[in-house]
Amino acid sequence: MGEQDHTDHDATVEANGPIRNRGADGPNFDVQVIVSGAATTVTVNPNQPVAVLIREALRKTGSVGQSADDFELRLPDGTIVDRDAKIGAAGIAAGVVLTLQPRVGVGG
Amino acid sequence: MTDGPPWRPARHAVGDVDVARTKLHREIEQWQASADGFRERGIILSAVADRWVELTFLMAGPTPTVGACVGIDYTNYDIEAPSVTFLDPLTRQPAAPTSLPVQLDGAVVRPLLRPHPVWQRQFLCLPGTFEYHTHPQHDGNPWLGHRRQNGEGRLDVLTNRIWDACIRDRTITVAPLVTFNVPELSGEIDADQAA
Repeated sequence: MGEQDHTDHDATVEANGPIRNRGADGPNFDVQVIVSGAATTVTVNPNQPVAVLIREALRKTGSVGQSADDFELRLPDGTIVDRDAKIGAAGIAAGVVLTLQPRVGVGG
Repeated sequence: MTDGPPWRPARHAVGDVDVARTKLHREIEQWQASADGFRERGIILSAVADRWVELTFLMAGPTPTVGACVGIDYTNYDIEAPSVTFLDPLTRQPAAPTSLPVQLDGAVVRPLLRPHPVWQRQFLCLPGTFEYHTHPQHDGNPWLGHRRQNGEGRLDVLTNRIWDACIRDRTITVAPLVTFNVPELSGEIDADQAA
């Protein structure tokens, strides 16, 4: 048991907490999220659900006035990302610029 | 900044106009930071004037087509919500868009272009707009309950909402029909045939 792979432990993410960086050799990557006009960089793991990324972006920008469920995350092409999907499967790649904005209320 | 638009809603300043100007200037700067992404989706910031911007939304297809054009009036922002009006992209007068705004509510398609009983024009019936919050049926949902709630009223947020309502998940099909209108040529052919 001389050498132990610590990467799996380092990749653990608390359900409501910040994402821990796995290090340069891990699969984590940075994305830019624009929240209310303010850009912030979030380090994400592709195996985490998108909801974790949303919560982290809101936390880093101090946007705490509303529930994270009241926000929607968009890819650069305008697609709204499924918050329950895994980050890697949702088309979120390194360096992408995402937009986080409040859900629109019911109109009409 | 261009000259004033040929049409804009009649609104009276109720606060410091320089505050609204400064806030809109900041909105435009932040919008411009994402302008390349908006452009790829067919969204163009087509005019800027004093507390006023116009956005043109193109629909992709064989021939890019203007799906919607809006004028957004930021008078009194953000004491009051920005006013959104659909415009004819050529005359820049109020007009229904080519691609009518709707909102999907489950399987129900909810039309969002409604007549406004106070302002006497069609409006985009979505929270976060001046027209919505001044509609008598929405007097229980005032703008001050939305103001500064993580982006309400912001230019980029409105941009995405209008794009969602008018452009997203829509395609346009164009059948080209070319007609020639050359009476002189028609006359010569007729003359030859007559001879």
